[in-house]
Amino acid sequence: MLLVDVLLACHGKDSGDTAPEVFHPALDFLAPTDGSTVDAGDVQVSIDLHDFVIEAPESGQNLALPPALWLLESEASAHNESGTPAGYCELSLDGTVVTDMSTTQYTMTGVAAGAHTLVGHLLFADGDELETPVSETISFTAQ
Amino acid sequence: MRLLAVPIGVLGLVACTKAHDTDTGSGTATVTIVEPKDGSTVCGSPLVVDLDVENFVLVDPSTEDLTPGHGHVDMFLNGQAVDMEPSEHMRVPNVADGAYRLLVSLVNSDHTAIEPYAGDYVFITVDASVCDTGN
Repeated sequence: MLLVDVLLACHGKDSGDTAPEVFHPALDFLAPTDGSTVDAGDVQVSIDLHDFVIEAPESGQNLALPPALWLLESEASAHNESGTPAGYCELSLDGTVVTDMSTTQYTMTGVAAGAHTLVGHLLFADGDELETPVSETISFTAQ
Repeated sequence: MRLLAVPIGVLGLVACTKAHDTDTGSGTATVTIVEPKDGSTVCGSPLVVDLDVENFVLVDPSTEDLTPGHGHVDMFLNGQAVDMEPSEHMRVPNVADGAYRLLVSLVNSDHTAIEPYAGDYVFITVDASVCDTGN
């Protein structure tokens, strides 16, 4: 009986019969870094992501589906419920949204000299908040 | 019967553990990023990555052969999957300028991480201005 239990346990592990994978999306700024000083004008923004697939914000509905299914289909798709959470990063400079990042790189233009606050905020492709909101705030100086 | 089942059960546990072991007999599987160096500025067209893989047999990612100790390399830039190769030499085309965390990890042919985990990462800057210097 014990042998059967052992073999079943082993088989279950090998067949992928395990608990659902848990994701912990996170965001870090690689550039600019918190407290850094950069040249005014064009400022390169680089973000590092964990457990989050970055993609373009979603727009419109899947017209191949009945309107009644638009909400269900789009939410399941936009939230990538079958895998790693996916969406975009809303980037704000001094409280104003400057872009929705669909890659990990973006160049801000016309950044004035002075102190600035930069916020990155991860959102699902349909604009919904993640189950646990994820945002990162840094300060930098342009001169 | 009970006395017989216990030692056989222990053997079953050992066999079960061995099936997930990536040790091919000469050591634990490891991967190290040789190039680019941590903190370096490199060209992104293409981004050239050289690895040193030990105690692990690299096979085509499309294979369905789940032999322990066999698999491929997954590469990520800033947490985004960019390539999978059965090679220690990888070339990623058209990497945009910017700061990156380059991560590689050894995975089984079913794309799950090997156990124990084997990976390495470096922080690099990609800058097109160094491409003409042969970097």
